[in-house]
Amino acid sequence: MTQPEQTHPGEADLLAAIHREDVAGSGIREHIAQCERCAERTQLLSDEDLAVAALLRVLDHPAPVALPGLPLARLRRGRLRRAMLVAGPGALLAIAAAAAVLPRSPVRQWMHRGNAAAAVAPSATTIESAAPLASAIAVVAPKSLVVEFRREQLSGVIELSRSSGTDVGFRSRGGTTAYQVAAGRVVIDNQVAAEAYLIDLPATVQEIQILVDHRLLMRWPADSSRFAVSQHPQLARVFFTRGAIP
Amino acid sequence: MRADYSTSRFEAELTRLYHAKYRSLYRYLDRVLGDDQLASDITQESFVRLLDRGSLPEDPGAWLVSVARNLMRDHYRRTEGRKRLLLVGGNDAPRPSAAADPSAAVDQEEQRREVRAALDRLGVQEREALLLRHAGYSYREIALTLDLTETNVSTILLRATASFRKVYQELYRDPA
Repeated sequence: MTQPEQTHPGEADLLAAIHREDVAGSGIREHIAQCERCAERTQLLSDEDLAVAALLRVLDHPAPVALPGLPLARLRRGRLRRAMLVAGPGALLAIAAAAAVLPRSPVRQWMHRGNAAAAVAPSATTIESAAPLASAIAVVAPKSLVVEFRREQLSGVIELSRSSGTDVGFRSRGGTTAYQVAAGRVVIDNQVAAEAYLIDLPATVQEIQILVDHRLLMRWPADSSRFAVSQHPQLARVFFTRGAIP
Repeated sequence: MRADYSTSRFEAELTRLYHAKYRSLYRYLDRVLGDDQLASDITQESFVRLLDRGSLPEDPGAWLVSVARNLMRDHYRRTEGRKRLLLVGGNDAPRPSAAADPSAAVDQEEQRREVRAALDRLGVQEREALLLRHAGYSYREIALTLDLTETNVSTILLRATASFRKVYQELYRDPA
């Protein structure tokens, strides 16, 4: 059955239908399915569209294998600095004075520990993340890295991917996570278990150990054959399980 | 306490958006600029601007593209006198030599130059709409970015598709 000329959609509408955009209304796709002429026009337009897509792909550089980390930590540091500048040194003095008189404050404990204790220097500087809750941080890449999950977790996955950056990036999907960074060690406080933790590793990181509540979950490269994803050589996937590596 | 919760939620939404939109924005910028490092830097900076904003705009995808386009303009304003966007024989950064065959690499480079030259013949709106669409942006996002209606976007895309193919064939291939 032939339809009147004016009922056929224009080519712009057909292209929108190919792109699954409904700017011309939802009836277009039904019309194409029923009208042989419009189906042919759509096919021609689709071929053109694909040809353009193929030509534009010629311009592409290889896409990054892993996304660079979202620099949340950098922004927080900037905000913290700004906040401290605004608060001024007076406020800092007041905080220090208050900390010194509070019975169980670290400042007071330090003051009472005496010279002998002060002589024992910590082996690593521990910096609490600037914000209490964080979903992503980036840290300077060490040669050997220990990642420790503070709390037991029996579901979810850790994805390790090689990146071309210079920092190790940590991100989490879901859950509530805080980070504590020391030299060669990142402690992830998985307060509410996330479904996935994504770790971007630059090539300078040669060894990695992952601990969950003090049990060893994975060593890299020793356990690489167990965790490498065969189709993606740049990717390793570690599922949280109860078993520990002996 | 409420502020911490809001911040955490905003950052979680931003992280989700980052995973959903990073590649589209990078792809668009890489194609416009021909420089993957600069594309990566501007993509990253656009997300940093969004993070600094502290809340998500109504259409974050379009907002990010608009910011990236402004950053791109600023970059080229600062480096005025350098190569123009989409210049014939453009400013393509060198690619890792994937082709073991040197003649294949030369062919690829030649084709890139041809595609850039054909794009350069399009009007600005047509070129932008085409590049955004083929980087994965929706008509709504393109309309918001280019200050058009969605119906205009479909018309412009149709014209851009036909013009690009026609110009490319006229310049470099015998018409079929």
